[in-house]
Order: sequence, then C-alpha cells, then structure tokens
Amino acid sequence: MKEMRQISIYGKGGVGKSTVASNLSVALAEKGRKVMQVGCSPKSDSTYFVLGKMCAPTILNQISMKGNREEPISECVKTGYKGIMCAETGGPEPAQGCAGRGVLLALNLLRKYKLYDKHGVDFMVYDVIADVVCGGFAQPMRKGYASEVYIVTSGELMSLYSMNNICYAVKIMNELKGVEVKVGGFIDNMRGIPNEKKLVDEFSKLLGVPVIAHIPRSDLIPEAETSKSTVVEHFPDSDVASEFNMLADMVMEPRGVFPKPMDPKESIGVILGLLRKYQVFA
Amino acid sequence: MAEKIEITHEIPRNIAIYGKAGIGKSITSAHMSVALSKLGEKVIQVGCDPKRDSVALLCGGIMPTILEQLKMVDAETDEPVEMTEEILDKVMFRGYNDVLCCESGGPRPGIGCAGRGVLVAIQLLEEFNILKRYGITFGIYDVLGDIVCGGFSQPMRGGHAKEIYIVTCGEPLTLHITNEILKAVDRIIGEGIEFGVAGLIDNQRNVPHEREIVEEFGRRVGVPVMEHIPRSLKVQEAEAMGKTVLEAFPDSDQAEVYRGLAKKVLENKHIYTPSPFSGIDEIMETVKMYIKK
Repeated sequence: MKEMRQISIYGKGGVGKSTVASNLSVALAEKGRKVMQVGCSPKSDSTYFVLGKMCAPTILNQISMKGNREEPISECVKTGYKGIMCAETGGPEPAQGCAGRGVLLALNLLRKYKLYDKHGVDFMVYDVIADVVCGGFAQPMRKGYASEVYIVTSGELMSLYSMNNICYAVKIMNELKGVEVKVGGFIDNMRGIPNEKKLVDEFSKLLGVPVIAHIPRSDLIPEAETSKSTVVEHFPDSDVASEFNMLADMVMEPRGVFPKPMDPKESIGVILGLLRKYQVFA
Repeated sequence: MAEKIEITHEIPRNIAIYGKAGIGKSITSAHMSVALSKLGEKVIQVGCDPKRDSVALLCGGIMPTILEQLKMVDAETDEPVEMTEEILDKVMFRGYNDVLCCESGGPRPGIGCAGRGVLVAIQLLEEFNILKRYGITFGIYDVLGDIVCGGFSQPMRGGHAKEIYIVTCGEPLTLHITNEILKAVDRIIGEGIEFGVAGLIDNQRNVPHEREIVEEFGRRVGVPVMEHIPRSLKVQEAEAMGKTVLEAFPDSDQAEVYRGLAKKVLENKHIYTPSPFSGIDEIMETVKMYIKK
C-alpha cells in the first residue's frame, strides 16, 4: 500500500479554496489515487461539487444527534465522483459557540476511528477556512493534520496580504515544540489582473515558496458548479481542466519548504510596490 | 414568510455589514462611510475582523487595533481587561473626511479566539460612551460574517445594530453563504431581538447574468437588492493608493455608484425578516435557470 499523503488547502476567504480543493481531488482520483476530501469549515460546502449534493450529516451534527461512537461517525463519510470519499466537519449552530474547536473535535474522531484506512484512502485533502487563522482554525496545523500546506492566492492586494499572513502563522507553528509544518506551494487562482503571473511569482519568491500553478479565470467554472460538478469532471477537455491536471501532477510529488514570511504590517508596503511595478493600475 | 417592518431611526443610527469572506465588505463599508460623511453624517466605522483591514482605506493604511493596544498577553487566559481613557488616543482615529475609525483586531495568527476582539471592541465603545463623546450620528460595523460564531454575531445579538446589510454577488456559493447568514438572522430574531435585514448589496464578480440572479435571489428571500456595484479596476487602483474611489477618483462612475448607495441607505425606512431558502440545492436550481445558455 502506498504511504498516505495528507495535504491541506488554505487561503483568503473568497479566493477559491473549495473550488481548487475539489478540482484537485477529482484530478488526483482520475490519476488513480484514492482520495478523501474533508471540508473543515462551518459552511460545510467544500465537498458539494465532488458529491453533487451537501454532505450530510456533518460530523458535528451527527455527534449532537447520535453521539460520537464509530458507527454514527462512519455514516458521515460519503462516496462522491470517481470514488472520492467526502466528509464535512461542520460547525456549531450559526451564531453560537466556537467554530474552530468543533473542527478539531471532528478531525480527531476521523483519526481515532481510522475512517480513511477503512476506505483504503491514500490521499487526504483538508479544505480549511484560514482567513481568520484564530487558534481554532490553526489546530489542524498544530495537531499534525496539516503538515503540508498549500495556499490558494491571486494577484489581488488582499489575497497576497493574506497569503503572507498564513505563512506567518506557519512560522509561528514551527516555533512550537514538536510541530513541523511546511508549505508545498502557492496556487494562483487568477482574477484577470494585468501581469498577474509575474506579480504573484515575484511576491512568492520573496516568501521563499514556489508557485506551482496559475489557474486561469474561466466562466466554465460557475457553469460546472451550477450543475453541481467540478470543471475537471464537467469540461475535461478545457484549458482550465488541464491546468488542474498539471497541478495534481505537481502535488503528487511530496514537496515543502519553510516559508520566510514578512511582518504582516510591512507586507502591505511591499505588495503595493509590486502592484505599481507591474502597472496593475493604469 | 418574509415580513416588512417600518423603522424609526434613532440617533445615532447603527448598521452592520455582513457577507461571505472575500466578498468586499470592508471596501463597501469604507465607501459608504465616506459617502455618508459627505452627506453630512458624523460617521464611525468599527472594523470587527481579525484581518484588521476594515478602515485601511479611510486611514491610508493598516492601523493599530484595540486588542493590540490593550496589550492582552494572551487571549486564551481570559484575564479581565483594564481600560483607561488613555487607550482612546491609541485606538480611535480620524480618517478621511473626519470619519471616526477603529479596528477590533484579533489574536496573533494561529493563537487564541478571533471573536474575542469583537467583544472587546464593543465593550470599549460602551465603556467610554464613544458614540456620544464624538457626536456620532451614524455607526457602521463591518463584521466578519462567514463564521457566524458567537463572537461575530455580537453586533446583532447585543442590539447594537437593528439594521443589517449583506454584501453578496451572483456566485453560487456566495449566495449559499448569504442564505446561511439570513438563517442566522432568523434564529436571532426568534430569540426576541428586534432587528432585520435592510437589503442586499450586489458587489459584482462578473458572473454571467449576475444582476438577474441576485435580483431573483432577493425576491425569493424577501429582501430588496439595494444596489448593484459593478466590478471596477478603479477600486483596486484606489485601494493600492490606500484610498476609496470617492477620495481618489471622485468624478468616476464608480464613485457615483457608491454615492447612490449611501443615499438609498440614508433614506431607507424598512427592515425585513427574511424567508431564507431551505438549502443550497434550491439555490442552485434557481441560479441554473439563468446561467444555462
């Protein structure tokens, strides 16, 4: 049996983490890997396009209804497109409780009952809400669920700012005893900004992390998504699908570096300098 | 069923801006603050997001946050926070056109509870009676609304903002999150708290048929769309200068759109108890009708 890989996808809210995670899972599955995708956000919509419906019940839902024994928790794992196993941690009831802590509890149960082994999974993809990077949401890094992190970004000012912040969180994690977290690469989910590739490449170089894909902006993505599907499944011959396939090839090789983040306060000035240099604005 | 309620405005009038992460809440809030101040309101904008970039466009950069200045060693210790008036000079800033600004801030990335910053910010505003002290007539709370955990729901729950606006767009998952926020609103209204949604703000992402999709969504949940804001590089150009388009490009079309939005908000007299969609599938079916060629 192949050694199980565990990767996690982070990035600013709205940058396209779930879209990237789902298309990556599908591309990996088409290349023969047995994938499990775990959505780690109270929104519980990470696996929607892989499964074609909401993954219900979420683990936290199930705990509150049927308890945390192995059997009810196993019921939360569903089979999606190409045999991809899907699960959602869920979150507390909206407007109540701490979301991050719930996520960690759910991940602990998945590990405790070895639900990935049961399904012969050899590739875990965790899709983590990371905008906040509060204690709760950083737990997957801290507890060894996410020792190989991929960060989704774009050439927008705030995406680049957030990308540095996440690297900063990674650096803090590595200062803790017994924790080792590496960044596998940046994934540029392009927004159609002038000179976007050069811009993202240059900022990434400053942080010491490679950009492993530039995903072009495409109207085929919302079209596939309203059909409850990924673009890799729905439009397999499109350019954007082939970019995701290349991304999957990159991710299949284990990789990772310790990032060299800037102080978050200083990063804004650096990013502004690059935006001017690459004439993003007329 | 959705219910329409007439409201009488108190002074100061407080509104909260919610929406999916990355949708443009802070940009929308900052533009509304400036436009409202130009209409003669004395505005305060309170950033309630650990990303701390809410008031950056009003102040020309990232500002010190309340949590940072209070020097709480560790948000996890739960030590009582001591506040003295000296703190005000360090956390309250006068931004463009005299808009009063503050930023709740959050814990160090990776450590502590993010919602706590919001609670501390509200505590500070109350303790020093900030709105009265600075003669505020209009308060805008820019709230991270993706998570809707306990901390982030505080501006609604604590009765600080009776009127909320949700920034959205025509992307399927964004509409889903918008709907989840509407469900949270419903739940809190059910607890007997008097407030409601005044409108949706469509901050467009250039999805095909976006205007029609968002209008239809608004009709179905029983909440009007206050404005459709076109995507514009002018906004990012101004952002890179640390300014709103109202300051950087006051004669642009985009500036006019924001002035129009502010005028509608100022004149608004209604809030709505929404009737959210049952779930994401129902939303997808609705969106699909428009996106099919």
